[in-house]
Amino acid sequence: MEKKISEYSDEELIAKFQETNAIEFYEALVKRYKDPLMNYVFRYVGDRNVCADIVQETMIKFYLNKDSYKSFAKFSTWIYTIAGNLAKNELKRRKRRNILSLSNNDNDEQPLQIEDSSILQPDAILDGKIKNEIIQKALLKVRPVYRDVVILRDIQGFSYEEIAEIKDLSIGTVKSRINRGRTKLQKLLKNIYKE
Amino acid sequence: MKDNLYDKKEKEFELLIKTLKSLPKIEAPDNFEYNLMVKIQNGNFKQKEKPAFNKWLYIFTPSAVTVSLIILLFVFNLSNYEDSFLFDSPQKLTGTNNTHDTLQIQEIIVNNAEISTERDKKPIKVEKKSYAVVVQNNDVVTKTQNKFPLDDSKSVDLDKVLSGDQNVSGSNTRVRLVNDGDNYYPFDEFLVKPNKKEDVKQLKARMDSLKKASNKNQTK
Repeated sequence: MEKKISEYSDEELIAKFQETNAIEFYEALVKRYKDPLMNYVFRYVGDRNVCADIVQETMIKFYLNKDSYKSFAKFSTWIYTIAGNLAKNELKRRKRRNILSLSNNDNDEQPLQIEDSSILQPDAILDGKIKNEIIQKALLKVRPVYRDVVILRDIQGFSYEEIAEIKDLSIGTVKSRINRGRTKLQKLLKNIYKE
Repeated sequence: MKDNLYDKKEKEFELLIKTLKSLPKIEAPDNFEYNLMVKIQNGNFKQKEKPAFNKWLYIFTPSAVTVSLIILLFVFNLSNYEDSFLFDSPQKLTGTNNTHDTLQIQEIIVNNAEISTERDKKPIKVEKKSYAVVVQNNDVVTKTQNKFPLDDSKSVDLDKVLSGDQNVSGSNTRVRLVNDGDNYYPFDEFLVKPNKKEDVKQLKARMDSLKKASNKNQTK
């Protein structure tokens, strides 16, 4: 009895797609990865509209370059590498645009300000939306090289080995970058932890 | 050791990690798959555009290198280039003689030192050449090389002195005969002027006629 498509592993699906070129295997993989990739790219870039485009571009690249995937690698690390590179390019493009802009006067070292706790109740401060926005802002203040690995580790839940494979770095470098990113993030979010 | 260190650090950031994990998951828009499939079926992919910057880089880099090489060559060539005598200030102008066609300025001795390079390891050659700068009526300056390295202001033509054509009594110049008077004047060297064949023939003819005349007188 033949397995259902949903029962196939990622690697089996890509292998079938490479063999048969059948679109249903591709669609199954898109369904599995569209949300995790959206989450990853959004946390990294910080723009919902742009991140949808990046993930679409990732899926198109995957469709066009399916044969460049080799079975010895995990499919998840391969697709995350594509998405990460595209997100990085987008950040570079933005940086080039921001160089011309004089309005960017953010001080990186300053902790993010939260509304006065006497006006807002602590419960309200810790209310999901506000807190999430503050965390997202803090994430965007961390340098991209550190932010990237922190997102992959603490939000996407990858292991150090997988992150090393995605980013093509040694495990030591990954660990040290994660540590630096977390330190910076904790410094920026110290007002939240006071409460 | 290192792993333990990072594990310990992970405990330090426990609260932060928990906060990050609790962040809401962002989901793709509802029409994400539909849009993607439409793009794929229509072949409506964004072709990767190479930034124009790279094209300019490819053009400018070789041309910049070429221009800088040309400039360097030009600069080094200039430093080795021998300046024209026209740019040199003349050493001394002692007098002028106006002739019908040209205005002749005193001869100027120009020392052209040809120093051989160290590679050759030959002794340094110093060659003295004498040039006369002639300014013509139409202001054209020409340079002619003299036969002998003689400067009228510093040398005496004995033939002219003996025949009375040259006056050497001037005290302000170096144009004086050796041992002329009690004063010491700097003396460089004797330069023997080679006679022309015609002059030698004339002198011989004179000598012969004088000998014949004396012989005739003796026989008488």
